Amino acid sequence: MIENREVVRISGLTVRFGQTVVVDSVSLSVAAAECLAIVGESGSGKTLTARALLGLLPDGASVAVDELVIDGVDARRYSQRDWRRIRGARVGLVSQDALVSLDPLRRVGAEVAEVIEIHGAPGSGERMPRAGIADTVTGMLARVAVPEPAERARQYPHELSGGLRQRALIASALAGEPGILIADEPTTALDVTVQAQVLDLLAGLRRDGLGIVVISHDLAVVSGLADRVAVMKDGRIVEEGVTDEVLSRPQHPYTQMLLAAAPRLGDGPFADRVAARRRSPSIEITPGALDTAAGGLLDQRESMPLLHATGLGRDFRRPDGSLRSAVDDVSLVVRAGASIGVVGESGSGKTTLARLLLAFDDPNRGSVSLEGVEWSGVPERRRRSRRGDIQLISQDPLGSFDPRYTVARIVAEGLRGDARRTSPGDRAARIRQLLDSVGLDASLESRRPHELSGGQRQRVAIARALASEPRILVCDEPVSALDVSIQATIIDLLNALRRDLGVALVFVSHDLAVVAQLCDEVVVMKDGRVVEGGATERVFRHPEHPFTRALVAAMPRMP
Amino acid sequence: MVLRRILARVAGMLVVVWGAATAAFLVLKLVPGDPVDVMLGVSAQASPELKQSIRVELGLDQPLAVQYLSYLSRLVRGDFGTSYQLRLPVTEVIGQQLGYTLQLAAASLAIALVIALVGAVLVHGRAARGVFSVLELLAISSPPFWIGLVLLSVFAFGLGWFPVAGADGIQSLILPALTIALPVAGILGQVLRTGLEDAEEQPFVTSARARGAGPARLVLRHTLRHAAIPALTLAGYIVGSLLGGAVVVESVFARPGLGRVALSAITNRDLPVVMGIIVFTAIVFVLVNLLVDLAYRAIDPRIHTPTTAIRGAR
Amino acid sequence: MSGGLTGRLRGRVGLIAAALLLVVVAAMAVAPWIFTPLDPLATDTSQVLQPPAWGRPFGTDQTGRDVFTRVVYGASYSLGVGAGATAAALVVGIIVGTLAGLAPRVIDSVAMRGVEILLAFPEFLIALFAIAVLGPGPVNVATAVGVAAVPAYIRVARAETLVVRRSGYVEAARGLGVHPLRVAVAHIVPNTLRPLGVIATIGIGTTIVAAAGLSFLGLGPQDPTPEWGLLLSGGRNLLGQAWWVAFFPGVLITLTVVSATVVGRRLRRAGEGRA
Repeated sequence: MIENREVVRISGLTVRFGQTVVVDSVSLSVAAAECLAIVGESGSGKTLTARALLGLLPDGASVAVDELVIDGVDARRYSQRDWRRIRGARVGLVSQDALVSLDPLRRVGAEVAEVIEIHGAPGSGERMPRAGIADTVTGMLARVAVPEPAERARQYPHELSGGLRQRALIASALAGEPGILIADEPTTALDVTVQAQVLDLLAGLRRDGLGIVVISHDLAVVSGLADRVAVMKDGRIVEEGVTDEVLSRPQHPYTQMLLAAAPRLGDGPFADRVAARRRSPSIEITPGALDTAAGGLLDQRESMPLLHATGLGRDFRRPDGSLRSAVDDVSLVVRAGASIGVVGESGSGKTTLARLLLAFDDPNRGSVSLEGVEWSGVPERRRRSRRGDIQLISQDPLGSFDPRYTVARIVAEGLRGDARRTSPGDRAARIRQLLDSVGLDASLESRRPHELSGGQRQRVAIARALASEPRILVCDEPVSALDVSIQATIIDLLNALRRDLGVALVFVSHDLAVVAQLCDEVVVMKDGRVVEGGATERVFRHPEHPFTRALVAAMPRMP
Repeated sequence: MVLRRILARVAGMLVVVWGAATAAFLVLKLVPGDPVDVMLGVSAQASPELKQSIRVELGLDQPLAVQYLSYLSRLVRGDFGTSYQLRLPVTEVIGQQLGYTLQLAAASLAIALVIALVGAVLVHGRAARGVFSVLELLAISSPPFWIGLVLLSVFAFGLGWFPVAGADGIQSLILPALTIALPVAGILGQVLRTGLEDAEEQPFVTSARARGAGPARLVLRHTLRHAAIPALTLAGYIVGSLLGGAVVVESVFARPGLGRVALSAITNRDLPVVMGIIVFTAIVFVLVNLLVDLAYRAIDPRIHTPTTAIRGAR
Repeated sequence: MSGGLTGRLRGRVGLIAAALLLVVVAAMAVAPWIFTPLDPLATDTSQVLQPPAWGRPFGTDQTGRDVFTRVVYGASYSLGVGAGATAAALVVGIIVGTLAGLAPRVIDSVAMRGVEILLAFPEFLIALFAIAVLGPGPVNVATAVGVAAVPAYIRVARAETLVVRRSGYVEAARGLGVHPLRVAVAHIVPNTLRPLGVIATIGIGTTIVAAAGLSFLGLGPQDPTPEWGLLLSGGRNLLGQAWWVAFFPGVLITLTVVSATVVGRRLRRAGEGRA
């Protein structure tokens, strides 16, 4: 029988910064062996709510709360010293990205041991001798399924793989055997397959009696792990309930919007819905809005190959001198108006492939041709005039903007040839056209990049790319850093560009669900090689290669 | 593999010292005027034959390349030449005074470290931090010789707590060391404080706090190590400040030491001594750099070696 | 600096004060007669070693010369050397450093490895060595200090060029098909220059102190020329009797350097806010 002992209860939590209310009257509770998920986009207040459970709110925050009981202790009037006594011992925290959440200058074992050094042996609170601590650490690492725990404990965080690091971080939070664990985006920085393993680990810990509060923006992640879910928006909980209920029959419009916007992979009617969305995105770009003086961007329904890559290979030298093939024997054909997804985990070579296709890098083996003319291995001055035909949209556009430039100047830099030489008035009009086509208001023209939001920056990047009237857009994880609702709008924009302008897309991503929304065909990469390729629906519904199967299986599902 | 890196390292150090020695040689050969005239001083009356014999004795009549090679070969054997002015081997001239300067440098470094650490670690609260920032700014901006004079004026002449000049005993060491230490403490404190503040905003500090760590533990076990990294980059500057400061401070406080030797050599155009000090300084710098590199490795286990790309087909 | 409204206000006041002071010192350098009717070289044996008073705010020295007047007239040398040496060093540093930063990696790494350590010598030491070569004298001090300032600017210019060269926006510009020359002019140079300008502002302070230091040691202008460092060394022997002779010139040096540093830091923070 599972204990229904409550491990956390908080009610009426209100957090203010000065006059601004960031968390408004939030109440929730979690029992042992239960997992509650708090879901919301950036700015929803979910992180602050979680931090309040540890007393770790930033300076300047004023907190008011009606009830706050943590693992049986009333923490309402706690001073920082009181909080320190229960942090780690009664409540633990796991953050995202263990690479920065573990002290990179300390050994993994030291981080795991810290709780015990501070609080003493779990339960009794007695000082433990060094050997005892070491044993406890090894045991804890073993419990989170870290192989060879004693050796791992002596290593540094950067020497471990992403998945092992995250487990070590979880171990460091649980070493004091708290009754409740706060997990703040615990799997965001991880590859899909590794993510699945960590979620399994958390599920196992929950079964063993741990109460968990998971913060996430990813509904799919949450659906597998959480018993109950609370949706937050603008500091308030707008909907709360049993996970299956909320996800299949959302009541509140915001929840409904989140679910509709979230790219999901699945069988049955949802796959059809996703495919249909690809074909008719919700926005429209009228061809006349952009200057198609180049003529006939729409005419390419014929299957002329725009980009033809054969046997591409790219090697790098490791520190110890050995060779590593980032890309090995990859061939690809991109036809006009096509959309091809390139999926794989980190280290699969997909970014290197993108750079080879863009001729930002030259291959050691094989070749790429653009519109029938050689593209790779050609001196740069011969390529320069054609660069406008193939453009890049990257994950972090901020780095690709000169910080001194205004939006207008950034977009203008993309103009080429005749468009460049027109009068300033015509140029300005063209820039406004471009901004309009990506859904940006002309008032943003004089802003600088750091003044824009993530979604706005991505649109500016797309506008700049469109300025040169490209035939192909290579996108490298362009939406990974964006909120779900913004993701959806950018995906719609890219779909509309494809449909209305005939631009071909090469979309590199680790997120299968996003790829499914955008790409007719998909290519799966692992360790630099293509392991499978074909129509998206076929590959995702009936994957043949074992790696593809693992990828598809690891995708968090939703009902 | 490791052996190859050590050898490369040692080779690099030797190259630097050789570079400094060669630079000193070349540059001093550029000194306008006849070295013998310079050596004898403007007022000396010497017959041309006497000058020529001195020239031969010092090997100054040989072609440049020969002079250079013999200079190098002597250096390798530890012979830094003979002082024009004092008629002693340069190594002896430096050796005699080295002790005083080392004493001064060590004391200054110790005081600077203490002040910097206190200023960075123990000072909390906006007001106190603001005050310390201003103090640090003053310390960095004030010319060291002026600081020395002010300290002398107040504590030696005014209050009589410390001796006015000389080098006997700890008493006479405090004011000079303090003078050199203050600017160093200023910049070191700033870097340490910024380093600590930056480290405090990192996610791993949140993790540590979530384990129940208090401020003392956070600083001692976590952030101080991180702040030490940018502070280490100052090591070269600090050593240079200690040496440069010694020159000035030994003059202000009338202390014996390398600084006096250098100053007198410069003023009297005693070229062998100047060259010897340049080479000596280069050796010190190279050693300090080595120590700093080792310290880096000890503190930060992350090795930043990006995989190097093999040039693609061009 | 401390945050919050009062912190910002204090910062604003500090900036204005610093800028004002720099203007005053510059005025002293350019038009000293505005500040004092006296002659810096005029001795007056009846007024030897007088403490500060209404008519003579900084007192008089051992030959009866008015210290305030000498300090005012000393500004021109110090400021002139500071600004001039810094400007010259900046130009040389930018040229060499940018070229080094743009050079193919092989050449750059081989050349910079050993040079880096030598470049770590602090300015004052290099200036000392330079004076050792050139011999004492006011012009030589200016040259020595200028030479000593060059390595720092080379280092920064090279580092900035390297960073900018590898930055995302330079790669993006190349990806757009922009010609490399245009990339250099439109992106690399402007982004490299801004931090350098800021560092130069702070660097003027260091140069002024270095020049004053060399003069203090007797390697620069000689008596009776009024020069801040020289005034300080003259005051050294009078510490017991007439502390004001040494005190005030030092105050002025400190205030000038503080102001230059404050202004420079504010410029840097303004630049960073944009980035």
